[in-house]
Amino acid sequence: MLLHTGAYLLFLMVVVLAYWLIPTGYRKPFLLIASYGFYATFDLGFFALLVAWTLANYLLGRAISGEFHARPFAWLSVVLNLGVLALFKRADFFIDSLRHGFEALGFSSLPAGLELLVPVGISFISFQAIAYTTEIYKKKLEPAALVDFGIYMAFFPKLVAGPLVRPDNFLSQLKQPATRPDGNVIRAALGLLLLGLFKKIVIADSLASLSEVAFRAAARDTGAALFPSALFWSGFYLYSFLIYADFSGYTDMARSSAILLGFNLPENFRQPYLSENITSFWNRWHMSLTQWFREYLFFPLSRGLLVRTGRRYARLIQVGVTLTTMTLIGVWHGIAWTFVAWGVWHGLLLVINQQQSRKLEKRWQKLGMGIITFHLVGIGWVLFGSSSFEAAGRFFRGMLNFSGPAGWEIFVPPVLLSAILVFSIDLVQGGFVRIPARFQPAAKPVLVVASVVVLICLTVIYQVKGGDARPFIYGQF
Amino acid sequence: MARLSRLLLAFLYLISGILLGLLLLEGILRCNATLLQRGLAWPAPVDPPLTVSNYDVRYSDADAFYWRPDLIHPVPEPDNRLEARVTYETDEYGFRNPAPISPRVDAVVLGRSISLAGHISEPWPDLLARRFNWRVFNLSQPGSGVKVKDLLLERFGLSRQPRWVIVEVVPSIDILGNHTAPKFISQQMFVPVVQGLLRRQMEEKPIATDQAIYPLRVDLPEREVDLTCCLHYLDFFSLDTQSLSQSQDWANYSQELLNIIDTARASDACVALLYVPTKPDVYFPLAQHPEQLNPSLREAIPYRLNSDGRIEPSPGEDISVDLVRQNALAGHDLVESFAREHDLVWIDPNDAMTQSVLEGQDPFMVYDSHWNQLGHSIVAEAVIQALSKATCP
Repeated sequence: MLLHTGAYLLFLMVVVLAYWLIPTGYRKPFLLIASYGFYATFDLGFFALLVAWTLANYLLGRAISGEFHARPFAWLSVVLNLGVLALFKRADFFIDSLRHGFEALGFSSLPAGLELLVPVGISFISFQAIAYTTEIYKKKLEPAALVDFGIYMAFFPKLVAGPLVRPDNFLSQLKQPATRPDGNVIRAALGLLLLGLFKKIVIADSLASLSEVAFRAAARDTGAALFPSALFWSGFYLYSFLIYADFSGYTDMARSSAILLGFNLPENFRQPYLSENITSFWNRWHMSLTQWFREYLFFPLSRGLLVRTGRRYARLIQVGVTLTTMTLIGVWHGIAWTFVAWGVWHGLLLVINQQQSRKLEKRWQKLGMGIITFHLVGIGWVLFGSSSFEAAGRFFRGMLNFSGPAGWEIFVPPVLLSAILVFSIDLVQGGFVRIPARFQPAAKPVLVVASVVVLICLTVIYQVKGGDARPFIYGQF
Repeated sequence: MARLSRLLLAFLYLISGILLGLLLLEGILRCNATLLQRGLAWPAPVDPPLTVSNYDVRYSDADAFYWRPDLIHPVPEPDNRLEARVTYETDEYGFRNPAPISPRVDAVVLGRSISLAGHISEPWPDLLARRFNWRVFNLSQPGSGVKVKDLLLERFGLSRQPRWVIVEVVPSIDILGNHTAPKFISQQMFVPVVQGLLRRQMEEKPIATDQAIYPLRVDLPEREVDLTCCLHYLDFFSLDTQSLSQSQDWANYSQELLNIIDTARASDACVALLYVPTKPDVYFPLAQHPEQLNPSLREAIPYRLNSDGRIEPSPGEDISVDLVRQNALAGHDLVESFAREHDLVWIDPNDAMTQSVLEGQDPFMVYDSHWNQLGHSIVAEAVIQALSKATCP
């Protein structure tokens, strides 16, 4: 069940109503059942895996909090969670190997039940589990009750693509009596839900998804050079908008769903494309993931190395740990060299940025650096979205190949419209542009009606065209 | 009073919001034509770019079932034969071509669904490309009238400096349905989207076929055929050459054709007109017992020329098989003389198609108004012969 479908909106409405109507004591089990039900709609096998995974980490959490063998159990938890993640991320590799084995034995196909699917949101689930057991190991957290822990792992708004929550923060919300949201909170939550739907259906699915043509062109072994360069340039910009609108749209919907149930999920994006340098970008992009890596990898690793070396190679250690962290952030998305390259690219940009001490004062300087940063991030997205290095290479070559028919008038309009929508939302949301006071009373209702109109029209169009709703990009990680 | 002004303000916000939403929708649809319905008169392809799809076409997939399922007897499943296995590849814009499109092409094809041929694997433009080893850029789009063809040529075709521009001509739907590209695409989307929604609802309900007409058993020289046809075309054959040539509809259409010709010639391209024989063109004149065709006229509404020079439906008037047979070539003759007058290459596969029927073959899909693979081969041969003989500097 995808968050931008009618089925989810109906599910959310029923769950929210039931959650606040049933007696307090039944709310947590109800939420757990609803979350498992939500996950089971993707695949019953996923649901079984999640239950088993939850039980294993619950027991490990208990074992770690005990007096004996806390360290080995903590390591076991890390190995188990990363192992499950690696197994499913490379399921294709394992299944292919298995298939070859069966074929060698004379069987024509795999026995039934061995065709594995990568569970939705697996990277998020595994990192949540590691955060929980690590916090217990660090004595910052007491093991949670099974139902609480189950909700922490499976809370449906964040299950597919985060945001990653801090275990202490989320579990403490579960311990407190739930506060029913008042009218203002509900209005704000519904506004956020509408914004998320707008980003996903209008910007990501209806406009920025046109970027896929450029990646399909680059994936061709032959003839890629003959495609118009405007096709690749539009793909370059549109993919940047696609991944942002798709992911931040999801986060907005997840956060608004949580608010309606009386929970607060952390912010994940803070106008990242308005960043004036790459460090600022990473402070505003997928904030819950960077926070996780900072807390569980970057700080412990750099602290450990600094202590061991007596702070002699502080700069070198900073560079090394930054590169390592960013590479692993890349690998978190998938075990592929293109993700590694994406991580290394950002690591290098961060290292270079860390060496720059000059502060930009003038507005045009900040604007110029912002534009450069956006394009550097875009180069990373080409690596991220390409199926191979060769394809990424063809993509870049295609951008620089200005021979042949240009086709700008065909490929530029979706870029312009997407850019206007993305930057308008961010400039207003970030407070960079203020709607004049005399227009403010009118702006909100008019924009809400306009968004609803365009969403209804597009939903009907998609309905008539048939086919499945487009999944969230980060749902596959 | 205060309440009224608040209500008025709310109404104003509502209207402004709706207008803003529709404006945004218009922008989105203009940017992303893949959201549009097939058959909309819009100068951009509706198929997603750079995709390859493989699918089977069976009798029950025919357009006759799409438009008027109530007029066709259902095909029992054992008789629901496979007509084609299709591989459909789109280029970087979404037209039916192998990608990438060459920066220079030998021919541009401006057609409707007939030259797009989504129901067969090798449309005639592909066969032409193979025979001449040409780069053919097929810009055909379902429902593209002559004005849209002109826009497609300007937007996509001319920059590739084609030597030939081949324009598909179906006088019936081209002349009577010569709609220009709409001002607002979202406005034009309304009807097909509602139709689509209704169709989805109706799909679940069985359709009453007790008044079904087709297939019609028709005797031809030395054989008989089961004919399913003519849903779009028969009305047109109520018009003779004189009425057609005097009509404002023809004047508009021929003017638009002239625009294409001027546009193409200004870019040093030669223009050929490809006449599209339809089932009535081919089968009606061959019917041995014309009365067998009478049921097909049951729902036909004849046209006539009104005093303003416009062709309009005239439900009260009679239409007969004889009249249809008599006017079968009215549109054909008119366009042919237009082609001669303007020194255009005239490609006419009508005789070749008729001959193939006389030889016991069928160049059309069984339940569909489009040509089948044989029909496309015949047309390709006609195009090849006409272009081989033509002089184009």
